[in-house]
Amino acid sequence: MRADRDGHDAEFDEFMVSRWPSLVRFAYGLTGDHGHAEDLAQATLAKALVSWSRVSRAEDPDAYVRRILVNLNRRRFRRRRVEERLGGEAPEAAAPDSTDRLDQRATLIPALMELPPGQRAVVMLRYWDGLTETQVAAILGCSVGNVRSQASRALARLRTNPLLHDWSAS
Amino acid sequence: MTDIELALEHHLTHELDQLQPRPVPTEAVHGRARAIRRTRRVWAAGTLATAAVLGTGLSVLNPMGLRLSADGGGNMVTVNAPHTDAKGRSVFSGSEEGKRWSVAVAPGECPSHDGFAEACSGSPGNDPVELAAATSAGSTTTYAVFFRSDIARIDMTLSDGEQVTLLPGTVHGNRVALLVMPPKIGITRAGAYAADGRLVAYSISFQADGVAHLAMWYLPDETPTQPEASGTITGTTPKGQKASVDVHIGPFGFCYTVTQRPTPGAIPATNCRPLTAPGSDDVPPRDLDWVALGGRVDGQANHVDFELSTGTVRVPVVHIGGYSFAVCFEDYGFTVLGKTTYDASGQVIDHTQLPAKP
Repeated sequence: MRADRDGHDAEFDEFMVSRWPSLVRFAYGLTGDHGHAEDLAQATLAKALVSWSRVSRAEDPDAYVRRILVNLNRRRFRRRRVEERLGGEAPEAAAPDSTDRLDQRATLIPALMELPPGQRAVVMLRYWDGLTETQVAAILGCSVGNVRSQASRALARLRTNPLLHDWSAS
Repeated sequence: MTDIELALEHHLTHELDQLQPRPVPTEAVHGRARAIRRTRRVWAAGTLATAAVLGTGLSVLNPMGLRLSADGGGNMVTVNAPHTDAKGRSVFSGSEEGKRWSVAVAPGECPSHDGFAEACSGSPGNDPVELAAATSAGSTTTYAVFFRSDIARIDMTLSDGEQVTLLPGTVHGNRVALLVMPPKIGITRAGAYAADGRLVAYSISFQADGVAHLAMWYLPDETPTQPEASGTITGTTPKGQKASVDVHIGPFGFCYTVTQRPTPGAIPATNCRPLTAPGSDDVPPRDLDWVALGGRVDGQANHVDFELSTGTVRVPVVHIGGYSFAVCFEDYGFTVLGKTTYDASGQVIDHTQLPAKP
């Protein structure tokens, strides 16, 4: 039993080491904050470890883990209290934190943070993970049509971003 | 793929590849997983013992992901004083409709139960007490209750008349109490007390969509006199979507419920502060494609200009219950730059310029 557990853990450790960077980057695309991204990735892996026998047997363990991460991130937004900034300070910009080593000229991630969380998840799964609409729908638990419309709305909003605009123009 | 999709793919890869994650936190992940397993084992054992004694009672995993086990307690809601266990963890426990719950939180870590995730994401504010809630329709509501530094105890009165006393434990350096409420019970009043037992302030909550909101705080000798009133401000977003905000006024303060219409099943979002602007940490529900901006304005106001990065929006003032409000409905993707309030003669009553973002 013990050997079985160790065997499972070794397999999981290999999975964790190989997926950690991509999970953090994916989480960063959803949160816009390096600290939150690493915490989210860590929580995701802990949940995956607890259910490792199920995760490892899944047809696509990566999709399973992405789903855990997206669901954990959704709960961050459950809180209904909405803070007001108008009377005092400006709304908090979801800018990358100072510990990031991102190119300061990069402007796409902050623009992503202005999208609703659902559209953000679709953009990350579809255009960063390179998943099909069907795969994205399976991870998000929604219809393919919904993925399509969310992606379309997100693209419409991001279209004005200079990086994408310049690319399209060229 | 279209050009814009290719560009998006390229730039996302380019930007995210520059992010260098710290080394893999192997120990932290295993520790967090062990905490989840341990909690499950503890509850499984507790359930078996209870079932043996009572001949009934099975472990329930409620929709919030919180382990509950049957208990013979008579109160709808109980909360035990948090304590620190031998491993230095803050242990929170209580019961909800006779079902016990318990959560142990190690220093620097977050509660392993998703329902209490708010305890890590929130923080105390200027008010004596801040509530952060997580709920799902028809299910229990979990609250993380944040204590301001001068508050030592909170007494809550529930809608069934029960009294619950909350004492703080520690989560992520904050003084917090955790609370689980059944769907049919609300919080009607919260009193915040100093260490010497003196009542510092009290608040009457506004209950909406299964969640209590604390808006206005009164000093012990103050009596709420605000008359009750409500009304709806409707509008249309730039994309032609019908939008509305229900305004509730009462001794609890001013609370707003934002609804997207006619989206079937859209979840209303309630808050007891002036309305939101995008980019803050809190966001409206995913069903909303727009945000409501504004709130209460000067009684002399006739109209308000909201200066946004996308242009200036002029909004007429609406009167509800003797108060004045200016609310506009905007699609995402703007930054609020300022607000100018005018009276009927066109004179500026108030101008707020927001600091430019770095």
